[in-house]
Amino acid sequence: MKFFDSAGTGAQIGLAYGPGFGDFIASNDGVIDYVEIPFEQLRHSPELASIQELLPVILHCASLSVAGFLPPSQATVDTLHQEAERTRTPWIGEHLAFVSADGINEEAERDLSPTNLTYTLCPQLSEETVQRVVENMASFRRTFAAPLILENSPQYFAVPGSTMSMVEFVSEVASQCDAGLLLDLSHFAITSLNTRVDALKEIERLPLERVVEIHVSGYNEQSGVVWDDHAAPAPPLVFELLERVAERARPRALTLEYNWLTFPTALLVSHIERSRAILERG
Amino acid sequence: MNARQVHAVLAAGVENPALISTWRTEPTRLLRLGIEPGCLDLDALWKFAGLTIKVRHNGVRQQLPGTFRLMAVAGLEIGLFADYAAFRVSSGRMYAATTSQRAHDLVQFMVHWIDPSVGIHALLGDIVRHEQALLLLNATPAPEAVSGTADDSAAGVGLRPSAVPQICGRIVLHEMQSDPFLLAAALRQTVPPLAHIPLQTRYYCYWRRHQASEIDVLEVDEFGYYVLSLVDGSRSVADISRRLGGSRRPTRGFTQSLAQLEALGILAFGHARTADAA
Repeated sequence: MKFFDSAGTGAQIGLAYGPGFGDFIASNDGVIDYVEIPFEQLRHSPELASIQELLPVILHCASLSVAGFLPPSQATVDTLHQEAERTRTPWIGEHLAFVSADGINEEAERDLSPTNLTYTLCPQLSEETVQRVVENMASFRRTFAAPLILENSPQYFAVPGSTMSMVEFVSEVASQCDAGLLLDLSHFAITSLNTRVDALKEIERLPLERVVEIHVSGYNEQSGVVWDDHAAPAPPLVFELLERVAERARPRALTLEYNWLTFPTALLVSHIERSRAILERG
Repeated sequence: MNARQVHAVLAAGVENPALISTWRTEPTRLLRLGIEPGCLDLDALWKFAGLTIKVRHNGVRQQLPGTFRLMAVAGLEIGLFADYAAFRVSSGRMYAATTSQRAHDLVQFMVHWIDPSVGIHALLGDIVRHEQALLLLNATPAPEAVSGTADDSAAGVGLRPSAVPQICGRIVLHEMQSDPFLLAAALRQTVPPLAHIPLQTRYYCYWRRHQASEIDVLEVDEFGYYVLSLVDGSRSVADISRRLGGSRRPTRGFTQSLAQLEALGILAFGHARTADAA
């Protein structure tokens, strides 16, 4: 089994796991340093654990509903704990978002059984949510030895009742929780484009010294909104943001979330090399 | 607005997009749920619901690569998946457990969702049916040989009206608006030149021969397309001729066309072919 080199200096470069991953690393030995696997995929397909015979694993998660008001099931917490221990992941990257919420009854307006989603939602960006995150993180810290680092959500529309920008929200959460950040540059670009702010200026307002890991992926615009798209290569803006971040941050890892490998291998390799070069220069 | 309630409303809308439609027409329902209607972009929420379903179908991407590529290039993904999400909820059907079944279900929805009068939709209809035909024929076991076909070939000899043609293998027939191979090749380019794909009705026969693994894709003429669509292993040559508007005594042109299909190997005839008595 291979484990992430937590003592290493410099940023390591990895790929998010997906179809075609096995073929890619078989043909491109040594190009990446680790694989990032979603906890949910490991839970569904335990045989994926064998990948750690080839590469170290970083765990990614979308199940804790860190910014939500309903706790995850104990079974989820226990299984995540087991996987974190088994993989010796250096941290658990979790979304600063929610995946479950109270049920609503359209007719009687009474709460019913919870709504559980398979995709994370951007939470209300408010002090109320910040406090909820603080409470949740305190609880999770009692369970997990590996630190939880928090990933900024993409924002597709204004969430009712929000009183903060995404930068303000993330900064406040990071400060009050004393948490590391998983800075998803694509999500950051998406939020900036959808909320009509200058991404290159906004990024400077983040506490970049807290960035532990970076995510890079693509996005595309459809029907007037910019959407997350892990099947698309990162556009120029994402690399411009990476250059800015590298001037101030010392992340330990950068993951290319190219889960579907739908574009030429040469392009993927060039993005890996470019990312590595930017972080080494910074 | 209370964050917990806001989250509850957003999650409910994403899980059941039909609620979003209701909130559009009856905004007071949102108010009763503690949400100021003007504060929630229902259009964006609808599209986000589509995004979540698109992600849920990412596994299908490998089976329908050209289809997903075209949807992305044409900016159709979000709208299609948002409509698909609402359709699935209204029909009360859970998403299938297997990728293959999800692909099948999605294709069934798409062929009805597509508006063939819209150029880019026509291309989407072509590529999805092209990929589905290949999937279908690849998924089924290699068809067994039809007994007796080898002895019945009688090229150049007249065909009895009572002869029953049979398909040698398995076929899928499609009327397309473009050349699917040209389209698939265009979609593999970095910037697919979809505007340059000529739109013209074409007929294709996807054919997996007996005990073969490969699939042949043949462009046929309109006559051949309709003849093949009527071959069911029980209709005779005369029956088919009549269904196509001819008489029960097939014309020479008709039988020559059948002979061509026989020569290609797609058709065989269940009765011995002998010339009619002089």
